[in-house]
Amino acid sequence: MIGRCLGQMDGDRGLYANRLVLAHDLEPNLGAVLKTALDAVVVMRFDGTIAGWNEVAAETFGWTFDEVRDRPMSEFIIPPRYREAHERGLVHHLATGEGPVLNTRFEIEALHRDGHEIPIELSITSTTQFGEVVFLGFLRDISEQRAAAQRQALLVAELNHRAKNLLAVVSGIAHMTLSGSGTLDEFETAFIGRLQSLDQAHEILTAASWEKAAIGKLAATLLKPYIADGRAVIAGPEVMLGPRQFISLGMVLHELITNGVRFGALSTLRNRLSLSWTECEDEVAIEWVEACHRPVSPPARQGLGTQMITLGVRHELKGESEHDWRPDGLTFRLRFKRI
Amino acid sequence: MGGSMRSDPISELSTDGPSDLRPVLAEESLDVLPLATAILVVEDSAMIAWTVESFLGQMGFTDIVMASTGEEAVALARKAPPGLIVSDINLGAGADGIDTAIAITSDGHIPVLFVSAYADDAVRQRIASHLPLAGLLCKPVQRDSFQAAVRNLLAPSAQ
Repeated sequence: MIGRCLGQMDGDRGLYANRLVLAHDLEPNLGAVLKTALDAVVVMRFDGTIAGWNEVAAETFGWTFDEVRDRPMSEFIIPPRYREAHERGLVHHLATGEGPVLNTRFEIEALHRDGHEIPIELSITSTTQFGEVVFLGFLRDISEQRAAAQRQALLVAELNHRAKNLLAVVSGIAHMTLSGSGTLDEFETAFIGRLQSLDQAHEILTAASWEKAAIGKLAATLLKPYIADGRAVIAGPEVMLGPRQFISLGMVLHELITNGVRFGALSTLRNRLSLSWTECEDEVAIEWVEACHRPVSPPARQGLGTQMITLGVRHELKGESEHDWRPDGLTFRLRFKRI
Repeated sequence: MGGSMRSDPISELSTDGPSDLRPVLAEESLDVLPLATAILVVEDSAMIAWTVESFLGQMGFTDIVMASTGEEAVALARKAPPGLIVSDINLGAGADGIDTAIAITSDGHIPVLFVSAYADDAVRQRIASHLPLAGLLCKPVQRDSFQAAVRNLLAPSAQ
């Protein structure tokens, strides 16, 4: 097409030889090119008819050489919208010798026998065949590369959106943490703690390809130091949560742990904490029970952490929670529907 | 209006975009804010919704309700029609923020401010063709930019 695809060639016929589809009177060197090429190779005469067609071309486009030989190229692999340009290009080349697409590579669509289009990389060269110029079109099916590029573009766009959303969440954490902090030191401790928990939840989800991750893994990760020193025990069946609920639950557990470290069961080595969960018909029930050695007092006012828990449970987990402040510590219950 | 309207394109506070979307002013409007305005915040992230609520609270607004899905937002708007919608665009499964805002303000009389990480050309085109008076800010958003955008949308001269 000289216009958009190959060029035309001098007329000859083709044949099969050793699984090679080839014009029988092509010169030996040209025959070897068709035989050994890994890409589809199409030989076209000056009048636009097909003189050669290797086996890769037959596999790629669904036509055997016997079906296409000596017939116009444009009837087979050139999509209708390119045919006029193809014909014009041939005429122009014949009149002027100019061929703007000769000896270049470009991407275009070709037509399969069943009507679907195939993205191809096309390069066209010309050579002399028994003293007459013919055109060689090398056509590489780039469907897989095209699909891979589209997948990559989608992934990059999704990554960009997620990064912006995450930055917005971090910005929100900073804003709200600042509003609940009396000093910059308090802010730093609380802010970094929240980011670390968020990061740990992200790490677990990344290991799970951001599909679903287990509550047990989240609990074991966030409570690791307290499980190690014997203060905390966790128990429950394998319950898998999607990313949104997983991250939300991570935030809830982080706030409970932070409160426990400051005022409750995780404040001294003599206290105990039990975190357990069950699931029944997609409803998840979580219970956090503190057993403190010395009596603890309920907070005088609802702190930022408690507000974050309440909001996260209502807004993201679509569940219900209750804080039961008892003398021996906090009992927190949470129920939500697994999505 | 006491303050002067500038013709800053939306891109000054967000990303590149068509100038046919409503400009979001960086400067403070001198108009008196209608603080009794009921505001519907539609945002699937609790932390971001809370931050938006806090930004609005700092401005003096008190009638703020939050929805995490489009369906929830439409139901809340039916009960109590808002005077301003602040919405994310990607709300996860279900209707997105643009379709939700269109459903709530079918005749376009309710001001809408989108705050979203999704602000590509296709999104801007949808907003421009369905809600040409809507504002658009890109996440993460600064408090000052957000509050200026709200002032601009609710200024008496903008009604």
